[in-house]
Amino acid sequence: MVLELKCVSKTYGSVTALKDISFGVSKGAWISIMGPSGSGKTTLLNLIGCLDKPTSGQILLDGVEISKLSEKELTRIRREKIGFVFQQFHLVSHLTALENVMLAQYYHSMPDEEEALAALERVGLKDRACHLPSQLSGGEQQRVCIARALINYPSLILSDEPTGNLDEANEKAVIELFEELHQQGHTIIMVTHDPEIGALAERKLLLDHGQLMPR
Amino acid sequence: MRKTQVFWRFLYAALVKRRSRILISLLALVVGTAVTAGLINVYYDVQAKMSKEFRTYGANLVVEPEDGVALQEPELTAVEKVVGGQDVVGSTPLLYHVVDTTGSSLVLVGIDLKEAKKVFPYWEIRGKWPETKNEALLGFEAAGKMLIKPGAQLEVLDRKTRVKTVLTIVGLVSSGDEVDNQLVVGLDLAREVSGREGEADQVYLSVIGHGEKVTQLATEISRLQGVKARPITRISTAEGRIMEKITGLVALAVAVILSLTGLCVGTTMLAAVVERRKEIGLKKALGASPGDVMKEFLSEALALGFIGGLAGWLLGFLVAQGIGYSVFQDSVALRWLTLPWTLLVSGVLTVTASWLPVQKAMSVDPAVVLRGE
Ligand SMILES: Nc1ncnc2c1ncn2[C@@H]1O[C@H](COP(=O)(O)OP(=O)(O)OP(=O)(O)O)[C@@H](O)[C@H]1O
Ligand SMILES: [Mg+2]
Repeated sequence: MVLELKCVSKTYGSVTALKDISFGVSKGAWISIMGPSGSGKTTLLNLIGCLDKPTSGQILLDGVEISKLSEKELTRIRREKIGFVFQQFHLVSHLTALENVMLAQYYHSMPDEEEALAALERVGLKDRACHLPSQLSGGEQQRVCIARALINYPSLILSDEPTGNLDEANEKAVIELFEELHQQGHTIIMVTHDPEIGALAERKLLLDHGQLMPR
Repeated sequence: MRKTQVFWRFLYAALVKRRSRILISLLALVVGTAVTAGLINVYYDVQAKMSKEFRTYGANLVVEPEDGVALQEPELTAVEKVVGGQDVVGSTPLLYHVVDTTGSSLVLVGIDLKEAKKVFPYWEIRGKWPETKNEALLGFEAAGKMLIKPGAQLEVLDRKTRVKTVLTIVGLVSSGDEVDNQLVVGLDLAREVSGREGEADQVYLSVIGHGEKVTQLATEISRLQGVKARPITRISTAEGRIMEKITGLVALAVAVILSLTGLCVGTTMLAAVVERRKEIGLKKALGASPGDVMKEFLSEALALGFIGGLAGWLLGFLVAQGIGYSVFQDSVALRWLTLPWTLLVSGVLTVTASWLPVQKAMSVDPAVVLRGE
């Protein structure tokens, strides 16, 4: 098991965003999380990604219980084990595609320009390495994000609606990349609204009002 | 090492690609440090120049005979010898003698025609400065009473001997003191008319330097046989008082300018942090610690302070030159020591001004800022 959640709950004041969530993810799996808006999908992803702490319950990442860790330790786990791909891309606007990938290397360990370039080649953007995000299309930006998420060989790739801001052609290119990653053995957890994309996963988790729906 | 290299690369990109955003801060810094550096530059120069400038308000040391009668030739030579090795703008003996003219009497003053120009630079001359033996300056008040214009001839008679001397009044002098009612001639002529060969009543000196130096020289001269010297202190005190006022004014101006600059840098920095909160959140998601975020923002602030400080220092020097020329008709010396100080002040200023914004940046919660729009 790469990831295991035991009775995880998260409340924001009086709002219960997640309630008693339990599930496990084995290595190399592709999990999709679906559910209506406000059902707690992003909250769940944030907890798994060590960006937030659960109100109660346990989260084990590579066998390490992370829900009680300090901010500093969570930061370390984020940089070592998690690769994020966001719906709004979140690229640093004044850095080139290449430098954005190198940024992840920089915080992780040692920046390696060759390796970062190879990662961009993998997502088909080697020739756009020196372009700023503003000079790239949405789909290209998202592919840079995927290259960035991959660069440190994370245990988990977390993706919150990676195709939510893309048109069909770009969506297809990005999804194909994810399928490739899956085939190469990466563990993927992806939030999506699109049933077709959801169907590509080995397992679907359905959230409603913060609770996991039985299949 | 490699990591440091990439750090600089990111810093460079943040500064260069975001240059339109940091322009206001940079401009504020340049102007702030320029005015500050300029003021400090001028301030130091004022101190030096004021002393010189104040000399133009007249002699600051007077030598007189100890016996109250006259300074004799050997005494004058001795004084000259002491003064010779000093920082002296000019010195002149003065010899007074009362003469008669048609209808009234006048005090005739003999001076060293070459040196007196430097000792009494505040004399305003209408006409020209006397050059030959029989040329003279007439105090403008006396000239008014006697209805004499430059170019006129004036006959003077010695009271006792009734020897007649004809002088050409080549100019009228206005000095604001007793000279306005006197007749100024060369020392040689005055000695001839008075029959006091080799004598003088006083020596006026204009010494470069502050009170203490003048007093020192006065003491040195007073050690000579038969003479006593005293500083004319009125000028030195005025000088000190003005300097005090200027110091206060410069300090106040610098404080106000630097606060305003800091305020401007601080607010633009704060705006930048708000604008870049997603970038900060992202970096934290990628594993940046609050310390990393602080390091990056403070580095940007320091770089800004450095660039702004350097440009401001250069500009400030030019401003100081401008002020120097317009006020003192002289260039302001380039003080290299002001460069490190300006950079230090500018660096400390930007870091201080960025303190609050940096705290805000460090506390950005990635879970909040990365969520949705
Ligand atoms: N910081 C917060 N403070 C208070 N309530 C919050 C906070 N973050 C999320 N919530 C609430 O938690 C619930 C779950 O939010 P979440 O963003 O996880 O939903 P989601 O499933 O990702 O929705 P969407 O599909 O619109 O992205 C919502 O009711 C939301 O209002
Ligand atoms: Mg969401």
